Amino acid sequence: MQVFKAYFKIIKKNLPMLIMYLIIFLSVVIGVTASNRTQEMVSFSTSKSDLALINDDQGAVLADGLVSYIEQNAHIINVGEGEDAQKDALFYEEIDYILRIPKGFSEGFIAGKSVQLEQTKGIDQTAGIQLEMLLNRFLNTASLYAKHGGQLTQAEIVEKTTKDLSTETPVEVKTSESGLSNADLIAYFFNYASYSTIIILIFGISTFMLVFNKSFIKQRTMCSPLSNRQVFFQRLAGDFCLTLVLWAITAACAFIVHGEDLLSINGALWFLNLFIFSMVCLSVSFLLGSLIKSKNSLSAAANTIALGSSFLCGAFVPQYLLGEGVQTVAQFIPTYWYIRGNNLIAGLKNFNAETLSPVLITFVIEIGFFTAITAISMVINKQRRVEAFA
Amino acid sequence: MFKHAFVYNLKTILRERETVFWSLFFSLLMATLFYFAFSNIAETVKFKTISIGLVDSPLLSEGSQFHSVLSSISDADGIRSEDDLFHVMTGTVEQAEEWLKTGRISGFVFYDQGMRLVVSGSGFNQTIIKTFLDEYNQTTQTVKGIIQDNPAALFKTITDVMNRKDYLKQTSVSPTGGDVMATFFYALLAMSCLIASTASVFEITKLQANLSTLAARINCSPVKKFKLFLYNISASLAFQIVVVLIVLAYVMLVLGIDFGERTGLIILTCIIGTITGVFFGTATGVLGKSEGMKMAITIGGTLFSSFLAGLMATGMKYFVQKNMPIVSYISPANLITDAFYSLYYYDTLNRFWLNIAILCIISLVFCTITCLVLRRKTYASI
Repeated sequence: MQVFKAYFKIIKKNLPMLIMYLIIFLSVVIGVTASNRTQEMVSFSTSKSDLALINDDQGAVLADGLVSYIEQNAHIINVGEGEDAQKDALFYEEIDYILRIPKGFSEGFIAGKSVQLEQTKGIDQTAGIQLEMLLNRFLNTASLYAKHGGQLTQAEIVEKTTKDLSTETPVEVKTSESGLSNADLIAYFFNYASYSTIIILIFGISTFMLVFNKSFIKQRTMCSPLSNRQVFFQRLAGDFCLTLVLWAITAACAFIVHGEDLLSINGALWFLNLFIFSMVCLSVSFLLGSLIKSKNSLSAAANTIALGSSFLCGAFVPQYLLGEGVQTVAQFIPTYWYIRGNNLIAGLKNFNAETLSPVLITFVIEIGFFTAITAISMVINKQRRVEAFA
Repeated sequence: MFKHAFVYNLKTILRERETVFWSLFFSLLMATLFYFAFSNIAETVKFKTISIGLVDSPLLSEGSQFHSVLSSISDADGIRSEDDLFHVMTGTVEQAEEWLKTGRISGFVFYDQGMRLVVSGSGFNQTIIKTFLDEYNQTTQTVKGIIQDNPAALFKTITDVMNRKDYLKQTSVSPTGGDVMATFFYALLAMSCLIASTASVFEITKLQANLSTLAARINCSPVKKFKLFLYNISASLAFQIVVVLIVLAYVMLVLGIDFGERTGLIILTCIIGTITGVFFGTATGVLGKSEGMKMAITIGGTLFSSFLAGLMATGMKYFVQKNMPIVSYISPANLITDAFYSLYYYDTLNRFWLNIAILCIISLVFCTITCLVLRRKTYASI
């Protein structure tokens, strides 16, 4: 087991580097899940748009009534002072809408003049339309009262309007969602973990491969009584240990972030999926390590593969948002199946052959990738040996 | 001397074909991937007509009140128009349930025995359906209420109900509008600038006698180390800037991402960003212990900074700006991204120049660190 032992000597020497990668990329994974807004799907709740509100007509009863109606039906977000803060918030979709109630709006409205609120729509048009409907509804109702309700005061108009607007249509929800309330969020975590897993393993494993593949060291190893196959498998065993440790650490992070929810069949499936995927990453790193010679190109290759596959396969952007063409291409990349598996697991509620088989198919495809890529590295390894002697 | 050192270092860089290929290929490939991965996103935020189911009922004959109100904002009457809110599919309860299950409709409506809405989850589409139904029921009630109090107003009220007004006036904050997709490309360019740091780590290896034999030879030469450093680094810088500009040209001209009108300032941002990246690399090169560690710091630092600037999730940059404002003034990728953003989105340039100024200061700090460590270092024996 000399090679295996040597492997761990190299790891020991490079431990600070490995820990560095681990901290950076796992904090990316945890950071993004933590900053993501949670949405629970237990019962029907009306979706509320987020808006910034500027009320220049403060003190007027109608305007205040409108504001309190908006408060009930939307989230008024305080984005900070100044126009820049509002613009930034709108651009980054922190809010869907900026609404300004101009000075003198209430008086003009009651007097029947044609006054208007000023709106600036953000990028999400659907949220904007919902808000428009709400606002127009309030104002149209209020205008009916103002015109035809006899001589009503502003306060009476607001009161009657608000009362009428409280009429609600009963809503029934037929769900087919997962039993776990935050399944989507957990799947999101695991999807992101594909990025950290692949990049850490490529940097970790390929760095060691570069050491073993230095020509002098390689020639020395070759004239030892160890067979080429033994060297190959001992190195693979070393890589396997590294992968296992990384998997355990990622799993521990998942527990820290999501806790008890993972102590379920869904949780077990997610961990299993991550494990299988880690094996695929192992084989990819091994292949890359056999192909690439310099450290500088390794960094670019690792980045390309990790970021590229994550984007293309839907780790960062949900799969359903990707175009059909992109998805077709992505099917040739193992990450796609890993992420598909995660999303399928998130939707699992009943566990039987019928519901589980799509998940198992993704597992089988991932294992297929693993086998194929490992086989290719073995062939390349053999080829390279011949070259060295030629 | 400058010419000699500059040309030969540039040749050294260009002859490492593998490195040249990857540094260029990496950014171009990423940009292409982004383009295809996000081409659908713009579609998802656009409003699409909402499909709803309507459970058939004898009360829903054509000409009934609900039917005519619904027709005015949908294709229930068989006439489809651009600004329809709903697409209506009428059928039996079983059919509607099947449609809902397969996702063909967002929800379906029972008209009989009190209006009822059935949905499969929460969302804006569902909320819009509910808002419409609420509005229909509530308006009926309002009209009844008014007529009760003031029977004389009957006719006028009903005409006014039909003539609903739009009380909203559109204004715009920026001449360019917004584009979510662009933010990913800003962050990508920031990363392309900063990833130059990994290559410049090797520039230090070329200069420190204890790190490479080439450096040992160079150190014997009669040229001052500081000068050599500047000459070498300008070659590296020139190469990296060309790489970034090629990426910029590709993103702007081939992929057609909108960066706004101020092309000169956009190029300036790329150049300053690359300078920051290069000096970040040299500082790491002189301070770091092992080569692996130096790589880890430059790659990890670049990607982490880009992550904070929104490379992997658009909301991140805003999240950082809002909750950790100090970080957004330190993280180079955030500054570069913000410079692009302010060029695209703002009329004034104050914010842009602030970003550029901070980037210059950061570069200067890294450069000073590099020089201070490099200077007067001599080796008795290697």
